[in-house]
Parts: sequence; C-alpha cells; structure tokens
Amino acid sequence: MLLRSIILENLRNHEHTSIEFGTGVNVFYGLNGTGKTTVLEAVAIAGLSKTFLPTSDAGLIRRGADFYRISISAVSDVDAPYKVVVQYRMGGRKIIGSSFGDNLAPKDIIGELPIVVLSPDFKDITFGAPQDRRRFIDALLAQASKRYAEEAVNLKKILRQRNALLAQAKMRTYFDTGLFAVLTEYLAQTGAEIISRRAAFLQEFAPVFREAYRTIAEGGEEVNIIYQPDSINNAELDKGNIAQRLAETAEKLRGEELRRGVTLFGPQKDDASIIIGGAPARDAASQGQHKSLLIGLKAAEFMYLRDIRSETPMALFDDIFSELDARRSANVLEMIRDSKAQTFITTTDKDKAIFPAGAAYFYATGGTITQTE
Amino acid sequence: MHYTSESIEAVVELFAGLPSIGRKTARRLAFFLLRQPDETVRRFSEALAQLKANVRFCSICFNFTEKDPCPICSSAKRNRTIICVVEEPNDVFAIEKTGEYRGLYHVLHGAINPLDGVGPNDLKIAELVARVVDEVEEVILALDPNVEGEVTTQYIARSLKPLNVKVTRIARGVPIGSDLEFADEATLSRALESRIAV
Ligand SMILES: [Zn+2]
Repeated sequence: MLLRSIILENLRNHEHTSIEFGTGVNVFYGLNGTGKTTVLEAVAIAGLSKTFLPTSDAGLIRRGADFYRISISAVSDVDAPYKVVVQYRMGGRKIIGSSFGDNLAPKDIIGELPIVVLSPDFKDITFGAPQDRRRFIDALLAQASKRYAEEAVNLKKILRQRNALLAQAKMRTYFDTGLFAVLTEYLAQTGAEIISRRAAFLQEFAPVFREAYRTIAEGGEEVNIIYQPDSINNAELDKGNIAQRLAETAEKLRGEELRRGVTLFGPQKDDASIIIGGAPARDAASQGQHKSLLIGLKAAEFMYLRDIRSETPMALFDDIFSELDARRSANVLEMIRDSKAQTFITTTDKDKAIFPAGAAYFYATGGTITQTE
Repeated sequence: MHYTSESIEAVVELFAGLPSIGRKTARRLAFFLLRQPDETVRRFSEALAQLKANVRFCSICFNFTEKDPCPICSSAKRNRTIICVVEEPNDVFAIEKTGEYRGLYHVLHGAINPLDGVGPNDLKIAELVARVVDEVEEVILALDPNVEGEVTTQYIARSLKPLNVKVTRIARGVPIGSDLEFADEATLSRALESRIAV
C-alpha cells in the first residue's frame, strides 16, 4: 500500500496541513510538540480508526475548533486507488467514508490500509498485563480478518448485555433464567470463534516471531509466544470442543457470577505468554531484551499481515531511534528497505540514524509541515 | 434566541425529537411549513391527530392497524399455518413488498436488550407463544442480524421448544445481484460456513 497524500484538519495543533508523501521512507523531524507524531496518528486513524496514543477523539480536536477531519488518498500494491475520510465532531460519533461507501463502521475500514505501528508506548506488550497482549493480538487479527473484527465487536456487546443481566440479578431487580441461558450459550459460541482464531493465529505467528527476533532484533536467546486461553486446555482447541468447555465453565461459575454480578469466563480473560530463554519475558527479560522482543513482535506482525492480506503494510515508527542502539536501528531500516514498505518515521534529530538514500524529509514546527532536503 | 418566536421554537423542539432529525433540519422544516398555505398546514396537523386517534395495535399480531384484527390477520387468503416474527411494523412492510410471503405476522416491538432495560416481558413474546396453537406449523424468525436480534431469536426458539412447532430463521448470506468480489468479507465468511449442497 502506498499513501499518496493526506490532509489533516483541526487535528491536535494542525489547523490545515496537506502533505504529499514520498514512496519510500518519510522522515518527520522537529522538536517535541511540533506536530510530527500527529501525522503518524492521522495515518493510524485512517487505517485503524483510532490513534495509537491514549487520547479520546474529543482530545484530538484542535483547541477552538469543533471537529477534526483526516482525508487520505492511497493506492494498493496493484495500483487500485483507495480514499478514506474520517471525521469526528465534538459530541458526535466518528463519520467514516471510503472508496467502498459512506457511513461506515470502524470494522469496515480496518485492514484496508494495513499498518504496523512501533512506538515506545507499546512496551507494555512484553512488560504489562494480559490485556496489553490481548490488545496487540486483537488489533493484529482485526487487520488480518474482517470476520475476526466482527466477532470481537459482537463479543463486547454480548458481554455488556450479559453483565447488565448479572448486575440486575445481583440487585435482585430482575432475572430470567431462560435469557441468561441464551446469553451464556451465545458467549460460548462467540468465545469459541475468537479462541479458535487466536489459537490458529499464534500457531502461525510464533515461528515468524522467532525468526524476526533472531534476524532483526539480533537476539541470541530462544523466544516464543504461547497462547494461554482462560479456562481452556491448549490441547483441545477445536471450535466445537471450546464451546463445550466454555459452557461447562459457565455451569461451574454460575453461582459466583450471580453473587458478584459479572461475567467470570471467556476470551476477554485470555493471555499469551512471551517466553525468553525458557522463562516469561515479563519477569526474566532485561531492558535491552524487552526492546528486542518488541521489535521482533512488530517485525513479525509486518510479515504476517503482508502474507495474509497480499498487500505490503505501511510502517509507522514513532520516535524509536532515540530508544534503539545503532545496530538495532540499522537492522530495522534494512528490513524496511528489503520489504519496500512505505515508512513514516518521527525523530527529534534527523541525523539520529542513517536513513536510506531517497528518503523524503519533512520539518515540523508549530503544527505546520514543510518538505526539506 | 430573541430573533425567533416561541411558536417556532416549540415546533423546532418537536421536530428535533424525531429520529434522525437534527436541530438544523428541524428548523428548516419549521420554516418550510411557515411558507405553506394555511390549508396544507391544517391538513398536516389533522393527519397527525388522526394518526394517534385511529391507529392502534392489532390484538393478534400487534402490527399497526385501523381495524382490529388487521387486514392481514382477518384475510381468508393468508396461510394461517405460518407466522413470521419481526421486530418492528416496518419489517412487515419490507417483507410484504417481496410479494412472496402469504403467511401471518407477529410484531415484537423491539429486541431483547438488558443493557437498555428491555427484557422478554417488555416485548410481545408471551403473546406469540399463546398464538402458537394446533393449526400453526411453522414460526419463521426474521429479526435483525445483530447481537440483540440473535439473542431474541435464540430466546424465542427456546420458548417455543416445548410446543413442538417447526422454528426456522431467515438465512444470512451474500446479497443477490452483486458480484461476489464486492461482498463484505465477514458476510462472505459466514456464507461459506453455512454453505449448502447442490
Ligand atoms: Zn394482525
């Protein structure tokens, strides 16, 4: 995929910024707070429907304005044009339109502009809680499969409905055993869809991750990523079995769920453990190894997405060269060059790394972007 | 707002309370009505009054009607062995337009949604179960293809189980008349799963 151009309106400190991108590496440099990362956020919003930074949509609107809008023009690897416009008006909901239609839901555009983001903010994937790893896997699979994205949205809705019913039961205001059985069955079915897809994905992804860790991150240790679904034994991961097991777990937990008024089982409690040298990376990895693991995961994400979508993802690197040593930086840049991925890089200092010949440079200051030599 | 009148604002307020009408559109509609002849506006307000006075629920199928039972429920030409269950009166309209369905209907007036406080007792589900007597052979569930519709479908199927009636649901799949390549991937994925032998 190749982004031709982007227009940012009222996004953070950009009032109206229009950029024509280079086809290879695009370097955005400037001091902190000048609006260079916002360009990457805009690309992420157009591709993933949300930014990779923890901000609400309202928080993205420029002070004094009441909406933001991002318009992107792109072409696929086989030269098919693709346009997408995402706008958000204060107090409203996101309005999304693309070459495929108007009034789209986020899941309709996710995956159309395949994107891999690497930002120091993602260190929680190897460092943090299970939900950080689930978020990584869910975001990746949503880009890989529309069906997965839809099942994930359904899971969220089913859980909200089931938790609402359980909360009413706890308060003894209302409880319909038939409805509870229906929601439990539905959770088991949808849970099985998600768990079987996560399991199949991690089977394919683990070797890609191991290879990426060895070559790009230059890590010498044996690494792995292993699925740990909640209340399911890894040995029995067939869709029918999983639904059966989830139903049995529901039966066991029924009393406690009613007492506590909340759902206590399901794929929203899954984890995937990242292993280094035989131990969980969370406890065992050094600072440097955490960085290498993250690069390995993200490089593997890139390769996995490229193969499954038959489309080269775009790489977004937010201020990573201040965190990486020279050798790891060089390896990352070499991977980009070999894969011919269009890449968007932010850096405070454009001499921080040796960017490939032919890179396009953009200087950011006070919410404006100027192309430079 | 000193430059407008209380009467205008009252109408704007009412229009803006309608589904999918924003304040801007509400104001445009109010100004449009102001420019119409008195007669048109009088007919408009009379029609609104009649709507509420004359239209009620059919006591059998709960569709809107002026005559109870409604024309469909009282027609001798309809097949009384099949009942098609829908969420809203609008859905009856959609299925009638196909001209293919000759059975009866049952309107639930919503879907189960505990989050919004809508339980089975808030819908016409008990009334449906009571309708399924000897002559009814099949109940078709034609609810919206979303989480709430699915929950309602399963709940009704469960409630009808003891009655030994055939319960079916409408298929979900690829729209006819469009090329396969334009079908959305999630729909296509489900359609593949529920493939049938030819
Ligand atoms: Zn009727």
